[in-house]
Amino acid sequence: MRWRRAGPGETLLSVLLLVVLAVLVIYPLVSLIYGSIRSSPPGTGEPAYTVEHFLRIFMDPHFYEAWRNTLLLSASATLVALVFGLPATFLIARTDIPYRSFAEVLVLIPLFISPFIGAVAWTGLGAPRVGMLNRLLAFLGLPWEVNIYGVWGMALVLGFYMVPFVYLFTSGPMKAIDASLEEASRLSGRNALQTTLQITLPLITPSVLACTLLIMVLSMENFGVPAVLALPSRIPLVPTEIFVRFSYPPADYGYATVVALSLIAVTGIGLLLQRRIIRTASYAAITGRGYRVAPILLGRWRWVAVAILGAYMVATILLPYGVMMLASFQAYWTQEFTAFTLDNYRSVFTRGLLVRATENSLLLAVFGACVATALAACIAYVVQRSRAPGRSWLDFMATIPIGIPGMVLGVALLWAWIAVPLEIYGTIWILLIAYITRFLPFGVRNVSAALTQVGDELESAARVSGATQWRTAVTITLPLVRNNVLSSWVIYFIEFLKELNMSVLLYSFGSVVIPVVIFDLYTEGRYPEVAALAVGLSVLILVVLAISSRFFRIRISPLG
Amino acid sequence: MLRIRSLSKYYGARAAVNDVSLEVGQGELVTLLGPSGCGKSTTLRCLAGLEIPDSGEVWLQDRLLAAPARRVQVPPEQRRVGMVFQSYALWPHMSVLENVSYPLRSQKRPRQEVIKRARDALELVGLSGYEGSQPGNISGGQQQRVALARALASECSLLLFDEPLSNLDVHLREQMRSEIRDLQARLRITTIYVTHDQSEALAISDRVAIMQDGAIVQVGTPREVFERPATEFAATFLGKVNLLHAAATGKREADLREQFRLAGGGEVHVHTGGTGGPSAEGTAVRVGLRAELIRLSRNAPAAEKNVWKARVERAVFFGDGIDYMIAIPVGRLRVRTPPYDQFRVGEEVFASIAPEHCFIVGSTPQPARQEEVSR
Repeated sequence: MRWRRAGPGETLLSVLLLVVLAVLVIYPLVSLIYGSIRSSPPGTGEPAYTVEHFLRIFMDPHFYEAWRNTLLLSASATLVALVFGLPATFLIARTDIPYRSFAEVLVLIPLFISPFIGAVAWTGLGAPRVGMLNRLLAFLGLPWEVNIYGVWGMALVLGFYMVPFVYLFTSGPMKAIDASLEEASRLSGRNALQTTLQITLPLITPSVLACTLLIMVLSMENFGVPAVLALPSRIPLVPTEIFVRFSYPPADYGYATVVALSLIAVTGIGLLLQRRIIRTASYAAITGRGYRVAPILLGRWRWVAVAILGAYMVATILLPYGVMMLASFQAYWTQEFTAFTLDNYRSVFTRGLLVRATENSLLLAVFGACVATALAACIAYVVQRSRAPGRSWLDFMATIPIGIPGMVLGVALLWAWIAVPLEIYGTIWILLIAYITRFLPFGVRNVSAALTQVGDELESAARVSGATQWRTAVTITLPLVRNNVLSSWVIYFIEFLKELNMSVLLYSFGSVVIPVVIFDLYTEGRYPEVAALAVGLSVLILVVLAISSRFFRIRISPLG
Repeated sequence: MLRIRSLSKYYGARAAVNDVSLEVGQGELVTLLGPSGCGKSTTLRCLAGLEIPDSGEVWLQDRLLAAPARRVQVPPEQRRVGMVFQSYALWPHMSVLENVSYPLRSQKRPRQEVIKRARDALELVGLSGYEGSQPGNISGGQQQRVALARALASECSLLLFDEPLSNLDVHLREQMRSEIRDLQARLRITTIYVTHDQSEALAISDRVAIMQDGAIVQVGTPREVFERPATEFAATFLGKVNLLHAAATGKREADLREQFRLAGGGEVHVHTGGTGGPSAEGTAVRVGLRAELIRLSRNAPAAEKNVWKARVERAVFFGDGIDYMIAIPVGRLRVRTPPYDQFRVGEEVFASIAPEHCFIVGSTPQPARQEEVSR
């Protein structure tokens, strides 16, 4: 529909969406900067401006230590993800390893269960004394002790949870490589291993670089894993630093805000670099019409490969979750086992706090996913299908939240909404706003991608047949992108259900949600109850995922 | 010298390559010609070592490259075979010079020599000065030359081409075709060339092997396969051919023209070449008449043999020629004339063809293939 001018309806919609995005995205960012130079805490006193917070922090060795730890964690987690992810991806994408489709599902599972829950599960294995590994070592009379609390433990857990991103970024390019590029290398006198190292690996380097940067950024801004594995041992990290200054009395909002600014600056630069790499350095353009990509025949190594891959899956999924499951049926988590009990699960329905959290989480997930999906679909439609003015601005603003870490958005929303005389801050509505804003880009991209696949001419044909634009949108366009709209809803539902970073900053007594309760109970050391909640949450997520993928194809796309 | 003996390759129960035997002399260029799916590329890939045959043998000079029965399967990197791929397969992360020198670098030669040989190969294909270019920044024709240079650089004893020209436009294709032929003839490298383009095959080859359903149905010089196709398939694949059912009369004249009785009545005279005696009387054959070689005229031609009265049923103008469909007493013929031979639809004309331009093919040309499946 390139020929027509914007109608009044779509102009109105575009303006409306621009206003909504300005409030959701731009306003909090401006508030964040405002907060960093405000002398008094939010919502109090006469505003006076100062650079004191910046000076204070840049003189504080604690700040540099937090950054040093965060960068170290980020780099080592990325290394772990690549070391495990690249070979696993190669095996699944390029060889005739048995159970390929099953392995493909398993390798993506961590994407849907948050690193936070993963870290909780891992403490069941690797906590000093009470962790199953340590109990086993003690039982065997061995003098060693495993300690998951610390930078290396975090790097391992976080790294395992980033492996799906390696797979998502590199499996496509690995499969798409023109087989004759590798065959030409074989004919040039290189064996299979030399060919993999000299031809295959360099060809996917841009994708590897892109996912490396994304994983570094995601590891940097992750709060869940340090919350479980660093807070107890008081190792300072940037996200936990924001949380501690923000939530532990006496709150130091100025400090938290400036740390948040430093975080968004670093992650922002990282993501800009990543987008540049994705846009420019792509060898994909040269892949020609190859003969066919035959899977590499592993021969008798097939079963060795599947055993290694299986061992990896068992070690990173089955073991931690198995132990967490076990713990959820225990009354206490000590060095001795206690009798089997269902009390931990029962309390979800009986204890007031848990009941309220469950209600809130489900409400936010169901209702929030509906609102977010509708908003994302409208934005995608206006950007892709209208001639409305300002649609490129709309596109730009809807992309910004990719670069805002959850912890930063949490701080920004505090500054943005605390002084607004509406019942928003301190209620469930601030969580709704936070969730929708943070995850908006995913749905917009998902629906946009579907719209670009649907040719204009289908809609033009409807218009020529006498349908109005709105009738066309509802009866032609929407049904054609139905699967992407529905899968956006499912992903929103899951993301909202497990969101911790913003919730932990913005919740209040009445608006508590499940991940926050898990975090609180964990801090109190009540591992069996934590385990029960985490198991329940994971099961719910996996069931929703399984049901929805049976009914429509879920398109998984990295959130970064 | 390349020898292929009874080579077969199965995908499941389907024979992609079915008992192919072929000998290629030193410095000879043999084309594997056939439609897509006929097994020509799979045969080529068996020679390169990129496919593992199920039976048969491949010998290069005195070296056994593949023989499943003897558990011999030399991996591709040890065959010293050069190959030019349809997609060129230039590595995008290497410069032109790095691409060309890559095969040499695995041969443990001094660095100076590697560079020199790569430069020589580039000069050979007319690409001196492009050493530092990236493959993505040069034209399709130049990419083709780099691929050729890379295949030549390693001084292989067998050169393989897998539809190398199909990604080029028509003009470039003809130019590259003659350049490849010139280089190959100059360097005297034994070459197997796979294509589905009949004119390319005829133009470039010393001999052409026509493949159908995984088997070679005919091998011969371009002239032989064009003028005396062995099977109906070989006849129809190489151009526009009218096939008429006929039976041998057993009569042959001194000038080797044999008489055949056409199924619809009348006779046709065919110059059958000198081999053996005339076909036994009553033998069912098909007589092939090439569309380009049939003449149309308004007046009765001077020749008295192979002349039919005809009526023009359809005429399609193609620029460089006109396609006619004409009706003769025994059926319909497709005729291709030069563009200036204009006849109206419905016009009564004479169609004629010289006996030298006719050929016969056996009437059971389909190669047996079902039996092979249950081996």
